Amino acid sequence: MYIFPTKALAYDQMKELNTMIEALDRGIKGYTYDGDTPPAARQMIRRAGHLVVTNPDMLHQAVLPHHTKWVKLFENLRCIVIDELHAYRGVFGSHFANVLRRLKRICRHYGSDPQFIMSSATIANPLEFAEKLVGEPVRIVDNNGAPSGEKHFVFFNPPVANPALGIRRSSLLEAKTLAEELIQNGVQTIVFARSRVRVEVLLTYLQRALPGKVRGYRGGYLPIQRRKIEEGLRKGEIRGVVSTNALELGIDIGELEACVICGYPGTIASTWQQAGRAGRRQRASVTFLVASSNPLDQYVIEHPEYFLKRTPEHALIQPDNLVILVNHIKCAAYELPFEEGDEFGVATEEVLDFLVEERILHRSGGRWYWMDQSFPAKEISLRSAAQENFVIIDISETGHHRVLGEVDRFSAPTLIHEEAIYLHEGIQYQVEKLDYEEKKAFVRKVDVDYYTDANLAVQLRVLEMERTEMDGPNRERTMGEVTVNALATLFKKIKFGTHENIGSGPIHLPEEEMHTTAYWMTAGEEIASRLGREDLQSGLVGLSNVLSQLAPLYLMCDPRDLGVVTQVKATLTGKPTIFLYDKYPGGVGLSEKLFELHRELLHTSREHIHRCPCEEGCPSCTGPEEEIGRKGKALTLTLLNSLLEEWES
Amino acid sequence: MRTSERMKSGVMVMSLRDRLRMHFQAQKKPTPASESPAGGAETPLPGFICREKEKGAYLYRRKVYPLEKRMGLYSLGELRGSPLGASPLWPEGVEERAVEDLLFFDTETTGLGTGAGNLIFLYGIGYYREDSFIVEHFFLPRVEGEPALLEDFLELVSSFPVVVSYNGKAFDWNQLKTRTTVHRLPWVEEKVHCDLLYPSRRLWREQLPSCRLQEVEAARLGVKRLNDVPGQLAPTLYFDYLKGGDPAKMDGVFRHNEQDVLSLVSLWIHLNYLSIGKIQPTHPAESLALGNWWRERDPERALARFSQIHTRPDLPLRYRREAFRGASSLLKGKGEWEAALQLWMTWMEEDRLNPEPCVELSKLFEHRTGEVNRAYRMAQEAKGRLLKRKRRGQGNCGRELDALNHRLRRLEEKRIHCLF
Repeated sequence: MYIFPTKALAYDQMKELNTMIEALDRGIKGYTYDGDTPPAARQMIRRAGHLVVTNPDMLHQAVLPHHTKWVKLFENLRCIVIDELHAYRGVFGSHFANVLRRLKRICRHYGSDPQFIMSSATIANPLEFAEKLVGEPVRIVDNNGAPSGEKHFVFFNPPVANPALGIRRSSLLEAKTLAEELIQNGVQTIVFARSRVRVEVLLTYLQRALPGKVRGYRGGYLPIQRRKIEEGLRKGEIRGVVSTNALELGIDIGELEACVICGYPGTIASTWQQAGRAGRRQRASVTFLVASSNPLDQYVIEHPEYFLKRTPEHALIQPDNLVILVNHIKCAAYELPFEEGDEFGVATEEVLDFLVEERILHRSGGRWYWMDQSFPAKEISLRSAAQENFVIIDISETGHHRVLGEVDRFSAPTLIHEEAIYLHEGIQYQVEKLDYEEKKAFVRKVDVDYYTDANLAVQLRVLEMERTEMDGPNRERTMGEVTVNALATLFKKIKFGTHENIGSGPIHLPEEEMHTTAYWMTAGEEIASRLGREDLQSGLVGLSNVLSQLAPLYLMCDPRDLGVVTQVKATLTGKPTIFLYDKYPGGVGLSEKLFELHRELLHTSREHIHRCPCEEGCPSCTGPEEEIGRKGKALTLTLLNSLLEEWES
Repeated sequence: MRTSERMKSGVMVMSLRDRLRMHFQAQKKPTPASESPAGGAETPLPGFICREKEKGAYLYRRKVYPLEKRMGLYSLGELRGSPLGASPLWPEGVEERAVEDLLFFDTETTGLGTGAGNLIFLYGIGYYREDSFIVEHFFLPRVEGEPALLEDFLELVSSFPVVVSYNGKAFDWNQLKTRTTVHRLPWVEEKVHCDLLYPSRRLWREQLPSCRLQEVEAARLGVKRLNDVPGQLAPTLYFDYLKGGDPAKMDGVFRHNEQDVLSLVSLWIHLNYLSIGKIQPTHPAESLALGNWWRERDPERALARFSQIHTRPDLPLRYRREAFRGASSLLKGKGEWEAALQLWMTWMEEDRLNPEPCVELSKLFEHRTGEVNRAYRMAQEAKGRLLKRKRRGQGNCGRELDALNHRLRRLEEKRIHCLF
């Protein structure tokens, strides 16, 4: 069984596998099994597949709950190959680890004990991560024998346009200039941008400059269109392509000569994979990494050694996240009853008894049986951030309503409140009606010159402390569980270009509540009294900005996966406190890791602020003056210095 | 470290259960009226006996009905004496069996899906023995008795070569196989499986709001159920029973299932009578369905069914059209060209906007009789009808038109050749 994180990748790899199978000529039957597999072919795969290529979602919803139809596979399963291991981090990975627990249970039932073979991009903790994912001891093989040509890596920071405000020239325009020059000089080039919108904008610019030579590539293009572009690239007919990370994973597009990355992709692993699209074997190649002005980009561009040395990035999962675990225990019980002594993550028996109380399981004769009319796997998506998502429905055309996308519950109040402007594929939609009960937002296409920005009042309450440590006179840190309440209060209409506020309105939506894990640090009483309330506030905000932006350096996560709250006088401690929390119910291990990295994170932040050329703070470090006040940068450093003081020996 | 102690005293310490409650509070279900941990095995159900086996225990009930028992229009005895192979209900090419070989089969489950977590808690079967009809129930009072029940049930099933069900091919029989696989028990030999849902759909899809068994029996078999417990309530009643609820409430589920098994017999009798003409169809759609049903097995019988419809000018055109189509294609298949020609002519006269019969006639004249000019005129007539239909906006006829134009071009060439 081969497992790939996406359908597209499975399809591409199957093509390669098929050439090998043909060359071997031993009657090996290999098939992909995914949502696109026709019903007639499914039966054959179940009966006769020697090699089944699939994805986690398919395992979760189609294979495991119907394991009785796969007896032949499960009786004879020898190897499970998991490619692109590093893709299984965060929420998705925590789900996947539970899917694998279920898979192993089914294998045991049918008497097989397959071996796992995994491959990963370079991360800091491959062994620990793999062992946590499959729940078994793993041996690491890390001598890379792949041939590789000469590689040039250019760290490109757009020049500073306004030194006082710390504003640099646009990374998008710089990337466009670089790509244009490369393609014009006959160098086949791939350009990566971070979002769909940026891909479209870059593509427009480049097509204008080089008519007929450049194509776009991203999710949302039809598969047949994508196959054509891939082929055009392999044959060298297409000279340039602008893509999101859709082309980052193994899809075969041949060997390009140059790669321009517009904006740091967020992780070192991603950056290497994108750079790897240029010059895979013998020939020399070049990659330009063009930094944007956000702190993470600026940190990376100033620290090539961070990038080229051993990676500090940890792939993190939390398979025992209670919300995720309970959901998969339900699926597992549906598949086979639990017996006394069975282990499935933490405290299995307590969770099972809880589900009996909920009248979902039934305990009888020393076993726990599924006893509900529903099909649990259908209700659980492996990829979404929250359990219940809001569906966005485009009602622009009467009689032709269509689903545009989904937004998770916790983002809904700020993104799709009534009158909000919702952007999808570069097109503006206005939310006409938000049906909160039914979890549906009805939107209509509009053409306006503003976007909306909602104010969110966040309150944080500590529920439980798990660990508290103090390793410096003013350096106390705690890890525990918190409740975060978020209430969207009002929204502003902000004009494009000038960013002036051209109107506002109230938001009437219920408060969202989330229980999650957090880590927090408190500053000493001495610094609190020395700075005074107002200065302390700007120092805390400045530091919290840097911390939440730089934390992804260690976590392989998006800055949006972490929430941050500052309290000048925390309810619990009475001291100035900064909280960093996982933005997923129950947490996925991010703040837990930050708790361990506390001191390192503070040092990195201080160094980053020091090296930033701005005077009073800027979007690349502590945040702009308007947010943190005129002395914000200095105050942030004062606070940091106090936190970093060591014990006198 | 005084501070951290103070902090600790300010926070509650939560148990895992508290946390689970906290995360899942919104989904909590209402607590049931009665709650006792005991399952149902201690409280015997009327008529059931407990069978204790090595692998567990289950409840079993056997009821014997005289053949005179009536269910709506029919009595149980009517099935005996009519040869099974006489109707298309019996699969073609399969050796004929006695009615004693039929096992009428229906289950009650805890859900609708076909996954491994959907449990069959009640197996209902019926079969003929000597001068009576036997209904047996296998019921799971405690879930862990399933392997014992399955072993006995499968042994019984093995002695029957034929299974009769309603949607059993897609559901009940499949689910039995799933349960067997879950417990790693050996599966029974392949059986002849007559699923009465498919012929019922052919006959009544158009006329009945749905083809559920209860709908069919009420509308066509004269069966009236008194105080029936709807099938979709069965899972909830069973869950309550497992939790120690009132066992008497399960009685409705047993009655429901027994009625399903008996209705299977009625339905078989009815379908058999309809197909062999012992009773007459009451609706043109039924006649058409019967015609199509007999097509392969007995074309003469099928033709008779179709002619009952196309010869009656009082019936709606859409039924007559299908009858014309069915009958003429049968004649064509048998090579009875003269009869086919007559039928197509009549069809062309009476279905004035339909190009179909004209196309068929054009083909006949071109390829059979070699009358190129007649063939050409017919093709033109067909094209005229098609264009009229297009002007009325009745459907997209692009492909048909292309085919006709192609035919016309070819015929034109042939005509020119004929001139010289």
